[in-house]
Amino acid sequence: MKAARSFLLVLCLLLVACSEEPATLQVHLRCPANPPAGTLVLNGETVDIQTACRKQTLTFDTHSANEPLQLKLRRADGVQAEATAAYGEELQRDRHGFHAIFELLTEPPYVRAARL
Amino acid sequence: MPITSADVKSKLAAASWTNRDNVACQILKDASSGDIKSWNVEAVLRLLYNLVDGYRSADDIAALKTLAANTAFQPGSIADAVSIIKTVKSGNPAIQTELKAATVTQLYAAENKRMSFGEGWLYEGSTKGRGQLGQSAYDDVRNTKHFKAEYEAWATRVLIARVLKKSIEGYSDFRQIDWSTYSIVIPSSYGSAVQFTDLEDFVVPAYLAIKMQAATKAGRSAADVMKFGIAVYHGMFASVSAAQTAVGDSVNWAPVEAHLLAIGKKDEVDYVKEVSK
Repeated sequence: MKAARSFLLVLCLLLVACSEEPATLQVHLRCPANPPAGTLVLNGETVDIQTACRKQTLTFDTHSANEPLQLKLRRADGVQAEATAAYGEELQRDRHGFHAIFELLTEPPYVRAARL
Repeated sequence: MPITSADVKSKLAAASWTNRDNVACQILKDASSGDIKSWNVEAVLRLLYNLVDGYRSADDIAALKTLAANTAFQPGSIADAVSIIKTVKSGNPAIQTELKAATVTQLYAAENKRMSFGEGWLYEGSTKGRGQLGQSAYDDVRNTKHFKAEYEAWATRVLIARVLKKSIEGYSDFRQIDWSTYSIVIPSSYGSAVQFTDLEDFVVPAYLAIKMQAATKAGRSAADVMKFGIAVYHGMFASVSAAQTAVGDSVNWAPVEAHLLAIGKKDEVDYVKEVSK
């Protein structure tokens, strides 16, 4: 009886967990062969450019539904640039959560949001 | 003299409560098919209310049949939904040439093949129905940027057609009707909407069209826009993006497909082929 009750409880918890849509944000970075030194500011977090480019994808736990996503580039050589991914354009949502693509460029505009 | 929506309302209001079904029957006998076609939601629902309230006589059923056959609120097919969606997105050439009613049935079949045991009847995950969409997709379709007005018109049309058909068959399923305003209540949750297959038949191609629009870019063919759109519909954004980076091509589908196959994602490639064939 106790085991059956525990099974049902676990089943219910699993069903609730499975019935929620994920709101994770994955940012897919496309970098030049030799990424510059510096930092990226994304979704309120600061990350090292070269580390982020090695990972290619940065994952964040949540994204505010349908808000645009801004990426700020702060290169060590003083170059600063920003790009914004708009929801429905470069920022998309699929059944696994939110996704955006940013390209880091060696020439102006240095960073841009891209469509899939 | 044509019988207008306002006439329907005033004639029913003037009748005694016990005689309103007879008045409703008489209105439908006197009205031309053109009159009936012109009646708005409120007029149709006021007639329905008085014809189904209490005992449904043979005359009441006959009047319901006349109403159902002639009203502007007729059932909608997948082809009807796709036609409306194409009109809304008339500026997108890929949607015009690639999105078809067959795409939707092929998508249903592809999703059905991939459902796990019990999914859909024993339990539902975050995605639901034959098209396996979730609340966020439903919200996108109902966004004013996309199909809000057209979806509401579609939902009103098919839900009225459905309730008329059910009433003729003797059922009393009025959960989508607000009798205090004589209006249709459009489901706000996808879990509720997906219970009506004809609502799903609009939402699924509408959402695919949204994904095709987002996949439209310079140099990409219409056929490839369709394939990228289907891939994102199916939740493949991350794997397709990684494939694009790996092959150094962010426009064409063929190199992405070859890469996905090379890394063992055959089922994902098959899904896109099955829906876009």
